[in-house]
Amino acid sequence: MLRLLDLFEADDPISLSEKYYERLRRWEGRLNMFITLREWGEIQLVHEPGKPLSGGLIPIKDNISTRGLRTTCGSRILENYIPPYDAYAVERLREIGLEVVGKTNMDEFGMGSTGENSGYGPTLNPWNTGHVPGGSSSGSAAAVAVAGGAALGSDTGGSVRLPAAYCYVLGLKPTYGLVSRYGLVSYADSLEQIGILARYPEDMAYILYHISKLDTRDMTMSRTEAREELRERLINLYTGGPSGLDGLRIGYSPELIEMADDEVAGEVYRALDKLVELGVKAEEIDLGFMEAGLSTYYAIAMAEASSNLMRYDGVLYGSMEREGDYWSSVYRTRGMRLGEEVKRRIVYGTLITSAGYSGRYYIKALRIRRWIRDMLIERLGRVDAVLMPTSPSTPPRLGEVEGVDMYALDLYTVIPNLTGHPAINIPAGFVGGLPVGIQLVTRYFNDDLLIRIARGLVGVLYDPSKEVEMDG
Amino acid sequence: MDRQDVEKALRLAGIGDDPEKYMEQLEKVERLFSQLDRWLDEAPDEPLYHPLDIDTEPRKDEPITSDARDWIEGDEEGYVEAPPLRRR
Repeated sequence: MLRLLDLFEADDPISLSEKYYERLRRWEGRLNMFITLREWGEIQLVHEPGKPLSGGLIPIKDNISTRGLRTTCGSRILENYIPPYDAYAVERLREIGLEVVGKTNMDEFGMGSTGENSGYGPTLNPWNTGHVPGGSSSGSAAAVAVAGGAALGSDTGGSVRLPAAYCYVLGLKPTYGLVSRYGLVSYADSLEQIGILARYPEDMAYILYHISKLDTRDMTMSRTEAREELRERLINLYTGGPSGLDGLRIGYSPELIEMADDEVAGEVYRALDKLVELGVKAEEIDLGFMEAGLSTYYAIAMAEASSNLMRYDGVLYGSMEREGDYWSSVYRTRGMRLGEEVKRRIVYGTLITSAGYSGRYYIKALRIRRWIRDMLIERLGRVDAVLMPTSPSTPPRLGEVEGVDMYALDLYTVIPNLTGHPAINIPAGFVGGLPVGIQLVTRYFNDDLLIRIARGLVGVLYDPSKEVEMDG
Repeated sequence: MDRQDVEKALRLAGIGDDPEKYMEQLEKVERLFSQLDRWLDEAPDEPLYHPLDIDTEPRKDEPITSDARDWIEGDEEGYVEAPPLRRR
Protein backbone atom coordinates (compact mmCIF):
# COMPACT_ATOMS: atom_id res chain seq x y z
CA MET A 1 0.00 0.00 0.00
CA LEU A 2 1.88 3.07 -1.23
CA ARG A 3 2.43 5.91 1.19
CA LEU A 4 3.09 8.95 -0.98
CA LEU A 5 5.59 10.60 1.36
CA ASP A 6 7.69 7.41 1.25
CA LEU A 7 8.67 8.43 -2.28
CA PHE A 8 10.68 11.21 -0.75
CA GLU A 9 12.46 8.83 1.61
CA ALA A 10 13.07 6.14 -0.99
CA ASP A 11 16.45 5.66 -2.69
CA ASP A 12 14.65 4.47 -5.80
CA PRO A 13 11.19 6.07 -5.94
CA ILE A 14 10.66 4.91 -9.52
CA SER A 15 10.71 1.24 -8.49
CA LEU A 16 8.08 2.05 -5.83
CA SER A 17 5.99 3.67 -8.55
CA GLU A 18 6.44 0.66 -10.81
CA LYS A 19 5.02 -1.63 -8.12
CA TYR A 20 2.17 0.83 -7.55
CA TYR A 21 1.46 0.92 -11.28
CA GLU A 22 1.49 -2.89 -11.56
CA ARG A 23 -1.04 -3.08 -8.76
CA LEU A 24 -3.31 -0.54 -10.47
CA ARG A 25 -2.97 -2.39 -13.78
CA ARG A 26 -3.81 -5.72 -12.15
CA TRP A 27 -6.99 -4.33 -10.56
CA GLU A 28 -8.05 -2.27 -13.56
CA GLY A 29 -9.30 -5.28 -15.50
CA ARG A 30 -11.55 -6.17 -12.61
CA LEU A 31 -12.84 -2.79 -11.42
CA ASN A 32 -12.83 -0.37 -14.42
CA MET A 33 -11.28 2.42 -12.35
CA PHE A 34 -9.84 4.40 -15.25
CA ILE A 35 -11.23 5.97 -18.39
CA THR A 36 -7.66 6.54 -19.52
CA LEU A 37 -4.83 4.55 -17.92
CA ARG A 38 -1.49 5.43 -19.46
CA GLU A 39 0.89 2.68 -20.53
CA TRP A 40 3.96 2.25 -18.31
CA GLY A 41 6.28 2.75 -21.28
CA GLU A 42 4.61 6.02 -22.17
CA ILE A 43 5.11 7.56 -18.71
CA GLN A 44 8.47 9.28 -18.50
CA LEU A 45 9.37 9.08 -14.83
CA VAL A 46 12.56 10.83 -13.80
CA HIS A 47 13.97 11.42 -10.37
CA GLU A 48 14.66 15.14 -9.96
CA PRO A 49 16.22 16.04 -6.61
CA GLY A 50 14.54 19.48 -6.53
CA LYS A 51 11.09 17.92 -6.69
CA PRO A 52 10.28 16.06 -3.45
CA LEU A 53 7.90 13.47 -4.88
CA SER A 54 9.52 13.10 -8.29
CA GLY A 55 9.19 9.64 -9.70
CA GLY A 56 5.71 9.40 -8.19
CA LEU A 57 2.34 8.86 -9.83
CA ILE A 58 -1.15 10.13 -9.08
CA PRO A 59 -4.58 9.38 -10.59
CA ILE A 60 -6.75 12.38 -11.45
CA LYS A 61 -10.53 12.40 -11.79
CA ASP A 62 -11.58 12.77 -15.40
CA ASN A 63 -13.28 16.16 -14.92
CA ILE A 64 -10.00 17.85 -13.96
CA SER A 65 -8.14 19.19 -16.98
CA THR A 66 -4.83 17.61 -17.90
CA ARG A 67 -2.79 19.06 -20.71
CA GLY A 68 -2.55 16.67 -23.65
CA LEU A 69 -4.42 13.91 -21.82
CA ARG A 70 -8.04 13.15 -22.73
CA THR A 71 -10.57 14.52 -20.24
CA THR A 72 -14.06 13.13 -20.82
CA CYS A 73 -15.89 13.93 -17.55
CA GLY A 74 -17.28 10.40 -17.88
CA SER A 75 -19.36 11.59 -20.85
CA ARG A 76 -19.55 10.32 -24.40
CA ILE A 77 -20.08 13.89 -25.58
CA LEU A 78 -16.46 14.65 -24.61
CA GLU A 79 -14.91 11.36 -25.69
CA ASN A 80 -12.36 13.12 -27.90
CA TYR A 81 -11.69 16.21 -25.78
CA ILE A 82 -8.02 16.87 -25.00
CA PRO A 83 -7.48 19.98 -22.85
CA PRO A 84 -4.77 22.42 -23.94
CA TYR A 85 -3.89 23.26 -20.33
CA ASP A 86 -3.54 21.74 -16.86
CA ALA A 87 -5.87 22.55 -13.98
CA TYR A 88 -4.06 24.58 -11.33
CA ALA A 89 -4.13 21.67 -8.88
CA VAL A 90 -2.46 19.47 -11.51
CA GLU A 91 0.15 22.16 -12.20
CA ARG A 92 0.98 22.19 -8.51
CA LEU A 93 1.27 18.39 -8.35
CA ARG A 94 3.63 18.42 -11.33
CA GLU A 95 5.75 21.04 -9.54
CA ILE A 96 6.38 18.62 -6.68
CA GLY A 97 7.27 15.88 -9.13
CA LEU A 98 4.09 13.83 -9.46
CA GLU A 99 3.11 12.52 -12.88
CA VAL A 100 -0.50 11.81 -13.89
CA VAL A 101 -0.90 8.03 -14.20
CA GLY A 102 -4.37 8.23 -15.70
CA LYS A 103 -7.84 9.75 -15.60
CA THR A 104 -10.26 8.03 -13.31
CA ASN A 105 -13.78 6.86 -14.02
CA MET A 106 -16.66 8.91 -12.67
CA ASP A 107 -20.39 9.49 -12.85
CA GLU A 108 -20.96 11.64 -15.91
CA PHE A 109 -20.10 15.30 -15.12
CA GLY A 110 -20.17 14.35 -11.42
CA MET A 111 -23.89 13.55 -11.45
CA GLY A 112 -24.31 10.40 -9.47
CA SER A 113 -23.72 8.87 -6.07
CA THR A 114 -22.92 5.31 -7.07
CA GLY A 115 -20.30 5.37 -9.84
CA GLU A 116 -22.72 3.67 -12.23
CA ASN A 117 -23.64 6.72 -14.35
CA SER A 118 -20.48 6.76 -16.44
CA GLY A 119 -20.51 6.72 -20.22
CA TYR A 120 -17.58 4.28 -19.93
CA GLY A 121 -19.22 1.63 -17.74
CA PRO A 122 -19.50 1.44 -13.97
CA THR A 123 -16.58 1.13 -11.56
CA LEU A 124 -16.98 -1.78 -9.13
CA ASN A 125 -16.38 -1.76 -5.41
CA PRO A 126 -12.97 -3.31 -4.65
CA TRP A 127 -14.21 -4.88 -1.39
CA ASN A 128 -17.14 -6.62 -3.09
CA THR A 129 -17.56 -6.32 -6.83
CA GLY A 130 -21.30 -6.90 -6.60
CA HIS A 131 -21.64 -3.49 -4.95
CA VAL A 132 -21.11 0.10 -6.08
CA PRO A 133 -17.97 2.03 -5.11
CA GLY A 134 -19.88 5.28 -4.60
CA GLY A 135 -19.66 8.36 -6.76
CA SER A 136 -19.02 10.46 -8.43
CA SER A 137 -15.25 10.11 -7.78
CA SER A 138 -15.63 6.34 -8.09
CA GLY A 139 -12.40 5.52 -9.92
CA SER A 140 -10.24 7.75 -7.70
CA ALA A 141 -11.59 6.09 -4.53
CA ALA A 142 -11.19 2.57 -5.88
CA ALA A 143 -7.63 3.31 -7.07
CA VAL A 144 -6.59 4.55 -3.62
CA ALA A 145 -8.32 1.57 -2.00
CA VAL A 146 -6.38 -1.00 -4.02
CA ALA A 147 -2.99 0.68 -4.39
CA GLY A 148 -2.72 3.46 -1.81
CA GLY A 149 -1.10 6.82 -2.51
CA ALA A 150 -3.51 9.65 -3.20
CA ALA A 151 -5.83 10.82 -5.96
CA LEU A 152 -7.71 13.97 -6.86
CA GLY A 153 -11.49 13.96 -7.03
CA SER A 154 -14.14 16.65 -7.01
CA ASP A 155 -16.98 17.05 -4.53
CA THR A 156 -20.24 18.80 -5.43
CA GLY A 157 -22.58 17.05 -3.00
CA GLY A 158 -20.44 14.30 -1.50
CA SER A 159 -18.62 13.03 -4.57
CA VAL A 160 -15.32 12.59 -2.72
CA ARG A 161 -16.65 11.57 0.71
CA LEU A 162 -19.25 9.05 -0.37
CA PRO A 163 -16.94 6.89 -2.53
CA ALA A 164 -14.27 7.29 0.16
CA ALA A 165 -16.73 5.80 2.67
CA TYR A 166 -17.70 2.96 0.35
CA CYS A 167 -14.07 2.13 -0.51
CA TYR A 168 -12.43 2.50 2.96
CA VAL A 169 -10.23 5.51 2.23
CA LEU A 170 -9.93 9.07 3.52
CA GLY A 171 -11.82 11.67 1.49
CA LEU A 172 -11.67 15.42 2.04
CA LYS A 173 -13.87 18.17 0.66
CA PRO A 174 -11.92 21.33 1.49
CA THR A 175 -13.43 24.65 2.56
CA TYR A 176 -14.98 26.41 -0.42
CA GLY A 177 -12.39 28.81 -1.79
CA LEU A 178 -9.35 26.93 -0.48
CA VAL A 179 -8.42 25.08 -3.67
CA SER A 180 -8.47 26.68 -7.10
CA ARG A 181 -11.24 25.44 -9.38
CA TYR A 182 -9.25 26.57 -12.44
CA GLY A 183 -9.40 23.65 -14.83
CA LEU A 184 -12.15 21.79 -12.97
CA VAL A 185 -15.01 21.24 -15.41
CA SER A 186 -18.01 22.95 -13.84
CA TYR A 187 -21.18 21.17 -12.86
CA ALA A 188 -22.43 23.44 -10.04
CA ASP A 189 -19.92 26.22 -9.36
CA SER A 190 -21.21 27.42 -6.02
CA LEU A 191 -21.10 23.92 -4.54
CA GLU A 192 -18.01 22.14 -5.83
CA GLN A 193 -14.38 21.90 -4.82
CA ILE A 194 -11.49 19.73 -5.89
CA GLY A 195 -10.93 17.21 -3.10
CA ILE A 196 -8.37 14.61 -2.07
CA LEU A 197 -8.62 10.87 -1.54
CA ALA A 198 -5.76 9.18 0.30
CA ARG A 199 -4.88 6.29 2.57
CA TYR A 200 -2.57 8.21 4.94
CA PRO A 201 -3.50 11.50 6.67
CA GLU A 202 0.01 12.92 6.17
CA ASP A 203 -0.24 12.35 2.41
CA MET A 204 -3.54 14.18 2.42
CA ALA A 205 -2.09 17.12 4.36
CA TYR A 206 0.91 17.31 2.01
CA ILE A 207 -1.21 17.30 -1.14
CA LEU A 208 -3.66 19.81 0.31
CA TYR A 209 -0.85 22.14 1.29
CA HIS A 210 0.43 22.15 -2.26
CA ILE A 211 -2.83 22.47 -4.17
CA SER A 212 -4.21 25.17 -1.88
CA LYS A 213 -1.72 27.85 -2.85
CA LEU A 214 -3.51 30.98 -4.07
CA ASP A 215 -4.32 31.00 -7.77
CA THR A 216 -5.27 34.40 -9.06
CA ARG A 217 -7.00 32.86 -12.07
CA ASP A 218 -9.83 31.61 -9.86
CA MET A 219 -11.92 34.51 -8.58
CA THR A 220 -13.73 32.18 -6.18
CA MET A 221 -10.58 31.51 -4.16
CA SER A 222 -10.53 32.98 -0.69
CA ARG A 223 -7.97 35.73 -0.05
CA THR A 224 -8.27 35.63 3.75
CA GLU A 225 -5.53 35.35 6.33
CA ALA A 226 -7.31 32.27 7.65
CA ARG A 227 -6.34 30.49 4.44
CA GLU A 228 -2.65 31.11 4.91
CA GLU A 229 -2.79 30.19 8.59
CA LEU A 230 -4.41 26.91 7.64
CA ARG A 231 -1.58 26.23 5.19
CA GLU A 232 0.93 26.74 7.99
CA ARG A 233 -0.88 24.20 10.13
CA LEU A 234 -0.90 21.73 7.24
CA ILE A 235 2.88 21.86 7.19
CA ASN A 236 2.84 20.95 10.88
CA LEU A 237 0.63 17.98 10.12
CA TYR A 238 2.84 16.37 7.53
CA THR A 239 6.04 17.18 9.37
CA GLY A 240 4.82 15.43 12.52
CA GLY A 241 3.34 18.28 14.57
CA PRO A 242 0.88 17.75 17.43
CA SER A 243 -1.66 15.01 16.90
CA GLY A 244 -3.53 14.73 20.20
CA LEU A 245 -7.29 15.13 20.27
CA ASP A 246 -7.56 15.75 24.01
CA GLY A 247 -10.10 18.44 24.84
CA LEU A 248 -11.69 18.65 21.39
CA ARG A 249 -15.46 19.07 21.49
CA ILE A 250 -17.40 17.01 19.00
CA GLY A 251 -21.14 17.44 18.55
CA TYR A 252 -23.53 14.72 17.44
CA SER A 253 -27.25 14.32 17.04
CA PRO A 254 -28.73 10.89 17.86
CA GLU A 255 -31.80 11.71 15.72
CA LEU A 256 -29.60 12.41 12.72
CA ILE A 257 -27.34 9.40 13.24
CA GLU A 258 -30.31 7.09 13.65
CA MET A 259 -31.73 8.10 10.29
CA ALA A 260 -29.07 5.74 8.93
CA ASP A 261 -29.41 1.95 8.85
CA ASP A 262 -28.97 0.39 12.30
CA GLU A 263 -25.64 -1.24 11.58
CA VAL A 264 -24.23 2.01 10.14
CA ALA A 265 -25.46 3.98 13.15
CA GLY A 266 -23.81 1.36 15.38
CA GLU A 267 -20.44 1.93 13.70
CA VAL A 268 -20.81 5.71 14.15
CA TYR A 269 -21.45 5.30 17.88
CA ARG A 270 -18.47 2.96 18.10
CA ALA A 271 -16.33 5.66 16.46
CA LEU A 272 -17.66 8.22 18.91
CA ASP A 273 -16.67 5.96 21.81
CA LYS A 274 -13.14 5.69 20.40
CA LEU A 275 -12.92 9.47 20.12
CA VAL A 276 -14.03 9.83 23.73
CA GLU A 277 -11.31 7.34 24.75
CA LEU A 278 -8.85 9.69 23.03
CA GLY A 279 -9.96 12.58 25.23
CA VAL A 280 -12.65 14.11 23.00
CA LYS A 281 -15.69 15.61 24.72
CA ALA A 282 -18.84 14.40 22.98
CA GLU A 283 -21.78 16.79 23.17
CA GLU A 284 -25.31 16.11 22.01
CA ILE A 285 -26.57 18.97 19.84
CA ASP A 286 -29.57 19.67 17.63
CA LEU A 287 -28.75 19.19 13.95
CA GLY A 288 -32.36 18.87 12.78
CA PHE A 289 -31.83 21.57 10.14
CA MET A 290 -29.67 19.13 8.17
CA GLU A 291 -32.81 17.34 7.03
CA ALA A 292 -33.48 20.35 4.79
CA GLY A 293 -30.29 19.66 2.86
CA LEU A 294 -31.39 17.22 0.17
CA SER A 295 -34.25 19.22 -1.33
CA THR A 296 -32.27 22.47 -1.09
CA TYR A 297 -29.17 20.96 -2.62
CA TYR A 298 -30.87 19.29 -5.57
CA ALA A 299 -32.86 22.42 -6.50
CA ILE A 300 -29.65 24.48 -6.59
CA ALA A 301 -27.45 21.82 -8.19
CA MET A 302 -29.92 21.17 -11.01
CA ALA A 303 -30.34 24.89 -11.67
CA GLU A 304 -26.58 25.43 -11.92
CA ALA A 305 -26.12 22.27 -13.99
CA SER A 306 -28.68 23.36 -16.56
CA SER A 307 -26.68 26.52 -17.15
CA ASN A 308 -23.18 25.00 -17.04
CA LEU A 309 -23.92 22.15 -19.39
CA MET A 310 -25.33 24.31 -22.20
CA ARG A 311 -21.82 24.53 -23.63
CA TYR A 312 -21.83 20.86 -24.69
CA ASP A 313 -23.49 21.28 -28.05
CA GLY A 314 -21.00 19.63 -30.36
CA VAL A 315 -19.69 23.04 -31.51
CA LEU A 316 -18.14 24.80 -28.52
CA TYR A 317 -17.31 21.46 -26.90
CA GLY A 318 -17.98 17.87 -27.79
CA SER A 319 -18.46 15.74 -30.85
CA MET A 320 -21.44 16.50 -33.07
CA GLU A 321 -24.05 14.08 -34.38
CA ARG A 322 -24.88 15.76 -37.69
CA GLU A 323 -28.48 15.72 -38.91
CA GLY A 324 -30.22 18.35 -41.06
CA ASP A 325 -29.65 21.96 -40.04
CA TYR A 326 -27.57 23.30 -37.18
CA TRP A 327 -30.27 23.20 -34.51
CA SER A 328 -31.36 19.67 -35.46
CA SER A 329 -27.75 18.59 -35.03
CA VAL A 330 -27.50 20.23 -31.61
CA TYR A 331 -30.72 18.57 -30.40
CA ARG A 332 -29.59 15.22 -31.72
CA THR A 333 -26.08 15.56 -30.28
CA ARG A 334 -27.27 16.42 -26.78
CA GLY A 335 -30.07 13.87 -26.90
CA MET A 336 -27.78 11.05 -27.94
CA ARG A 337 -24.47 11.82 -26.26
CA LEU A 338 -25.53 12.98 -22.81
CA GLY A 339 -26.47 10.27 -20.31
CA GLU A 340 -29.93 9.84 -18.79
CA GLU A 341 -29.12 11.26 -15.34
CA VAL A 342 -27.38 14.29 -16.86
CA LYS A 343 -30.33 15.01 -19.16
CA ARG A 344 -32.72 14.65 -16.23
CA ARG A 345 -30.86 17.22 -14.18
CA ILE A 346 -30.57 19.63 -17.10
CA VAL A 347 -34.28 19.35 -17.90
CA TYR A 348 -35.48 19.70 -14.30
CA GLY A 349 -32.94 22.49 -13.72
CA THR A 350 -34.25 24.30 -16.79
CA LEU A 351 -37.81 23.87 -15.53
CA ILE A 352 -37.20 25.23 -12.05
CA THR A 353 -35.34 28.28 -13.29
CA SER A 354 -37.90 29.11 -15.97
CA ALA A 355 -40.49 31.87 -15.65
CA GLY A 356 -43.27 30.84 -13.29
CA TYR A 357 -41.25 28.20 -11.47
CA SER A 358 -38.13 29.94 -10.16
CA GLY A 359 -40.04 31.47 -7.21
CA ARG A 360 -41.69 28.16 -6.43
CA TYR A 361 -38.48 26.18 -5.97
CA TYR A 362 -35.15 27.84 -6.80
CA ILE A 363 -35.44 31.05 -4.81
CA LYS A 364 -36.91 29.17 -1.86
CA ALA A 365 -33.94 26.82 -1.96
CA LEU A 366 -31.50 29.74 -1.93
CA ARG A 367 -33.23 31.27 1.08
CA ILE A 368 -33.14 27.96 2.95
CA ARG A 369 -29.49 27.64 2.00
CA ARG A 370 -28.76 30.83 3.95
CA TRP A 371 -30.69 29.48 6.95
CA ILE A 372 -28.80 26.18 6.85
CA ARG A 373 -25.48 27.99 6.63
CA ASP A 374 -26.30 30.29 9.55
CA MET A 375 -27.46 27.33 11.64
CA LEU A 376 -24.29 25.34 10.97
CA ILE A 377 -22.05 28.32 11.77
CA GLU A 378 -23.94 28.74 15.03
CA ARG A 379 -23.59 25.05 15.96
CA LEU A 380 -19.89 25.07 15.10
CA GLY A 381 -19.50 27.96 17.51
CA ARG A 382 -20.40 25.54 20.32
CA VAL A 383 -18.28 22.55 19.25
CA ASP A 384 -15.11 22.07 17.21
CA ALA A 385 -16.67 19.59 14.77
CA VAL A 386 -19.85 17.62 14.22
CA LEU A 387 -19.95 13.88 13.63
CA MET A 388 -22.42 11.82 11.59
CA PRO A 389 -22.42 8.91 9.16
CA THR A 390 -21.08 9.66 5.68
CA SER A 391 -23.80 7.54 4.10
CA PRO A 392 -27.10 6.26 5.49
CA SER A 393 -26.23 2.74 4.30
CA THR A 394 -23.40 0.46 3.28
CA PRO A 395 -22.65 0.47 -0.49
CA PRO A 396 -25.80 -0.61 -2.38
CA ARG A 397 -25.73 -3.51 -4.81
CA LEU A 398 -25.09 -2.65 -8.45
CA GLY A 399 -28.38 -1.48 -9.99
CA GLU A 400 -30.15 -1.34 -6.63
CA VAL A 401 -30.79 2.43 -6.61
CA GLU A 402 -31.17 4.79 -9.55
CA GLY A 403 -32.67 8.09 -10.61
CA VAL A 404 -34.17 10.26 -7.91
CA ASP A 405 -34.12 7.38 -5.39
CA MET A 406 -30.32 7.54 -5.53
CA TYR A 407 -30.34 11.10 -4.14
CA ALA A 408 -31.13 9.80 -0.64
CA LEU A 409 -27.57 8.46 -0.40
CA ASP A 410 -26.43 12.10 -0.18
CA LEU A 411 -28.46 12.81 2.95
CA TYR A 412 -25.41 13.59 5.09
CA THR A 413 -22.97 14.91 2.53
CA VAL A 414 -24.77 17.79 0.79
CA ILE A 415 -24.82 20.23 3.72
CA PRO A 416 -21.10 21.18 3.64
CA ASN A 417 -21.41 21.87 -0.09
CA LEU A 418 -24.35 24.22 0.50
CA THR A 419 -22.51 26.06 3.27
CA GLY A 420 -18.89 25.85 2.06
CA HIS A 421 -17.64 24.10 5.23
CA PRO A 422 -14.87 21.50 5.06
CA ALA A 423 -15.79 17.85 5.64
CA ILE A 424 -13.96 14.54 5.70
CA ASN A 425 -14.78 10.85 5.49
CA ILE A 426 -12.79 8.65 7.84
CA PRO A 427 -13.14 4.88 7.46
CA ALA A 428 -14.73 3.45 10.59
CA GLY A 429 -15.04 -0.27 9.98
CA PHE A 430 -16.91 -2.93 8.05
CA VAL A 431 -20.44 -4.29 8.18
CA GLY A 432 -20.96 -7.58 6.37
CA GLY A 433 -17.64 -7.13 4.60
CA LEU A 434 -18.58 -3.66 3.30
CA PRO A 435 -16.92 -0.43 4.45
CA VAL A 436 -18.63 2.18 6.64
CA GLY A 437 -17.35 5.73 7.08
CA ILE A 438 -17.92 8.60 9.47
CA GLN A 439 -18.14 12.20 8.37
CA LEU A 440 -16.79 15.12 10.37
CA VAL A 441 -17.57 18.74 9.52
CA THR A 442 -15.74 21.69 11.02
CA ARG A 443 -15.38 25.47 10.77
CA TYR A 444 -14.19 27.28 7.68
CA PHE A 445 -10.46 26.89 7.03
CA ASN A 446 -10.03 24.33 9.81
CA ASP A 447 -9.52 21.57 7.26
CA ASP A 448 -6.35 20.57 9.09
CA LEU A 449 -8.38 19.71 12.17
CA LEU A 450 -10.24 17.06 10.17
CA ILE A 451 -6.98 15.53 8.99
CA ARG A 452 -5.67 15.68 12.54
CA ILE A 453 -8.69 13.75 13.79
CA ALA A 454 -8.09 11.18 11.05
CA ARG A 455 -4.51 10.86 12.22
CA GLY A 456 -5.67 10.43 15.80
CA LEU A 457 -7.90 7.55 14.73
CA VAL A 458 -5.18 5.67 12.85
CA GLY A 459 -4.55 2.40 14.62
CA VAL A 460 -7.52 3.00 16.90
CA LEU A 461 -10.38 2.86 14.43
CA TYR A 462 -8.83 3.10 10.98
CA ASP A 463 -6.06 0.98 9.46
CA PRO A 464 -4.60 2.80 6.43
CA SER A 465 -2.47 -0.20 5.49
CA LYS A 466 -5.43 -2.59 5.20
CA GLU A 467 -5.10 -4.47 1.92
CA VAL A 468 -7.98 -5.43 -0.35
CA GLU A 469 -7.82 -9.09 -1.34
CA MET A 470 -8.25 -9.75 -5.03
CA ASP A 471 -10.70 -12.55 -4.22
CA GLY A 472 -12.70 -10.35 -1.82
CA MET B 1 -45.42 20.64 -13.81
CA ASP B 2 -46.78 18.62 -16.70
CA ARG B 3 -45.78 17.11 -20.01
CA GLN B 4 -46.02 20.47 -21.78
CA ASP B 5 -43.55 21.96 -19.30
CA VAL B 6 -41.16 19.10 -19.94
CA GLU B 7 -41.46 19.54 -23.72
CA LYS B 8 -40.70 23.23 -23.31
CA ALA B 9 -37.72 22.50 -21.05
CA LEU B 10 -36.33 19.99 -23.55
CA ARG B 11 -36.58 22.63 -26.29
CA LEU B 12 -34.95 25.30 -24.13
CA ALA B 13 -32.18 22.91 -23.10
CA GLY B 14 -31.54 21.84 -26.69
CA ILE B 15 -32.11 18.15 -25.99
CA GLY B 16 -33.84 15.95 -28.52
CA ASP B 17 -35.53 13.27 -26.43
CA ASP B 18 -38.89 11.68 -25.60
CA PRO B 19 -40.67 13.80 -22.93
CA GLU B 20 -42.40 10.70 -21.57
CA LYS B 21 -39.09 9.44 -20.18
CA TYR B 22 -39.00 12.37 -17.77
CA MET B 23 -42.53 12.11 -16.39
CA GLU B 24 -42.10 9.30 -13.85
CA GLN B 25 -39.01 10.83 -12.23
CA LEU B 26 -40.61 14.28 -12.42
CA GLU B 27 -43.19 13.26 -9.83
CA LYS B 28 -40.43 12.19 -7.47
CA VAL B 29 -38.51 15.42 -8.06
CA GLU B 30 -41.61 17.47 -7.33
CA ARG B 31 -42.13 15.49 -4.13
CA LEU B 32 -38.53 16.20 -3.13
CA PHE B 33 -38.81 19.92 -3.89
CA SER B 34 -42.18 20.25 -2.17
CA GLN B 35 -40.30 19.54 1.09
CA LEU B 36 -38.78 23.02 0.78
CA ASP B 37 -42.01 24.46 2.18
CA ARG B 38 -41.36 22.66 5.49
CA TRP B 39 -38.42 24.94 6.19
CA LEU B 40 -39.46 28.18 4.59
CA ASP B 41 -40.79 29.83 7.73
CA GLU B 42 -37.32 29.54 9.26
CA ALA B 43 -35.48 30.96 6.26
CA PRO B 44 -34.48 34.62 5.92
CA ASP B 45 -35.74 36.54 2.89
CA GLU B 46 -32.29 37.03 1.40
CA PRO B 47 -31.16 34.19 -0.88
CA LEU B 48 -27.63 32.83 -0.57
CA TYR B 49 -26.28 32.29 -4.05
CA HIS B 50 -22.74 31.51 -3.09
CA PRO B 51 -20.90 30.54 0.09
CA LEU B 52 -18.13 33.06 -0.64
CA ASP B 53 -19.54 35.75 1.61
CA ILE B 54 -18.41 33.68 4.57
CA ASP B 55 -16.98 35.64 7.44
CA THR B 56 -13.80 33.91 8.46
CA GLU B 57 -11.78 34.68 11.52
CA PRO B 58 -8.33 33.23 12.05
CA ARG B 59 -8.48 30.37 14.52
CA LYS B 60 -7.31 31.22 18.03
CA ASP B 61 -7.94 28.00 19.89
CA GLU B 62 -4.95 26.04 18.75
CA PRO B 63 -1.47 27.52 19.00
CA ILE B 64 1.05 26.12 16.59
CA THR B 65 3.67 24.26 18.58
CA SER B 66 5.58 22.20 16.05
CA ASP B 67 9.19 22.93 15.26
CA ALA B 68 8.03 23.53 11.72
CA ARG B 69 6.81 26.95 12.79
CA ASP B 70 10.34 28.33 12.90
CA TRP B 71 11.07 27.40 9.33
CA ILE B 72 8.06 28.96 7.73
CA GLU B 73 8.60 32.07 5.69
CA GLY B 74 6.38 33.94 3.31
CA ASP B 75 7.21 33.91 -0.36
CA GLU B 76 7.70 37.16 -2.29
CA GLU B 77 3.94 37.70 -2.51
CA GLY B 78 3.48 37.09 1.20
CA TYR B 79 1.97 33.63 0.93
CA VAL B 80 3.11 30.75 3.06
CA GLU B 81 5.94 28.74 1.51
CA ALA B 82 6.88 25.41 3.06
CA PRO B 83 10.48 24.55 3.82
CA PRO B 84 11.95 21.66 1.88
CA LEU B 85 11.16 18.20 3.23
CA ARG B 86 13.87 16.79 5.49
CA ARG B 87 14.74 13.13 5.68
CA ARG B 88 13.55 11.53 8.91
